[in-house]
Amino acid sequence: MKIKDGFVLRKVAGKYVVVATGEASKSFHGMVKLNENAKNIWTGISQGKSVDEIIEELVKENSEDDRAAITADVQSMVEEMKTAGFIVD
Amino acid sequence: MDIFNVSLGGLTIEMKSRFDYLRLFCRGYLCDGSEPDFSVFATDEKIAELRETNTEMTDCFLERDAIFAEIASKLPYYNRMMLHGACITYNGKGYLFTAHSGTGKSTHIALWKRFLGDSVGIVNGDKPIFEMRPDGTIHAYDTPWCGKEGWNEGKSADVAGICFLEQGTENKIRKVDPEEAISLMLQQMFHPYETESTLLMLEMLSEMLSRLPMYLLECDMSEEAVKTSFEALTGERYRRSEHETTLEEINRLWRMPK
Repeated sequence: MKIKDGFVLRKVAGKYVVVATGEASKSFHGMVKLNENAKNIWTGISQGKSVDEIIEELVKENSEDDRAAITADVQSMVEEMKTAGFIVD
Repeated sequence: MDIFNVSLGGLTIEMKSRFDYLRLFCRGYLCDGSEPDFSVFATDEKIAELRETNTEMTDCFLERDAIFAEIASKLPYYNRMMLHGACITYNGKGYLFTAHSGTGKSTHIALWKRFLGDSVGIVNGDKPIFEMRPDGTIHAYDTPWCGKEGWNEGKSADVAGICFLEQGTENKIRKVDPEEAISLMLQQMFHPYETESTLLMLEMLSEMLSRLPMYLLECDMSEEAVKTSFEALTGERYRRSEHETTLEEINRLWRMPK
């Protein structure tokens, strides 16, 4: 699982923003704003981490009590990213 | 192959061209001598790519547009970017009006000229270059890509504000915070082909959003529309000029003389 080539993530005016460059910009003209959690998930995937690894890291950063919520968050975001075509296998 | 230098956005750019039209199109910007900052060439591949979406266009126009895209992609490496919008001056300060094509940017800036007269000038009616200067100012330059009206006086100016335009039935304006402006700006910026250049462009955007006041104007085509944007952007009280400038006069004054 990895982020499709050509998507870049950058902090703009205090917000995390994803835009497309190169080939990817032909099919994706818009932008995506990410909150802090979504940014961490995106970054994790772009670093080649698995869903489980990302969940473990976020649980460690937050609290074991949040495990269920974090797991649901990460899984739904990964699903959304797949649907939107940001992730390739 | 015709090779020549042009002066654009304070840079010297070498153009390598296969069609006579490009030199003609850039005639007001030709310069010689100095070592170019960078060089652009429209490859067959880039021209073929543009042809896919512009089937009616002849090769010389496709080359012109491909050269534009090449320049827009290179500019971020030089603290500059290409924006889609009409940039005017009022008492020497630059104001950018930006919106999707067909919203009425040209109509609105023509109203400024009509009612405010000599104090209003034009940098470029369609695609100015913006430079982020080390001293914190943002400078707008004209380019030969000046839209169907051809409005381009060859002026440059420090930018004092950006105004997003929307058609409306009444005239009102409000400030836009940087977060809201991100997507409004990204829609009107030319996205470079390369990743590194895109990252630099986003960095500039971030800086621009923190430095310039931004407004969203909803307007019709009346004098009230000018008053509304004028007072918000300049902070001055609106006073109509004694002489009303006609569209004919505007075209005579603003059409690229080059």
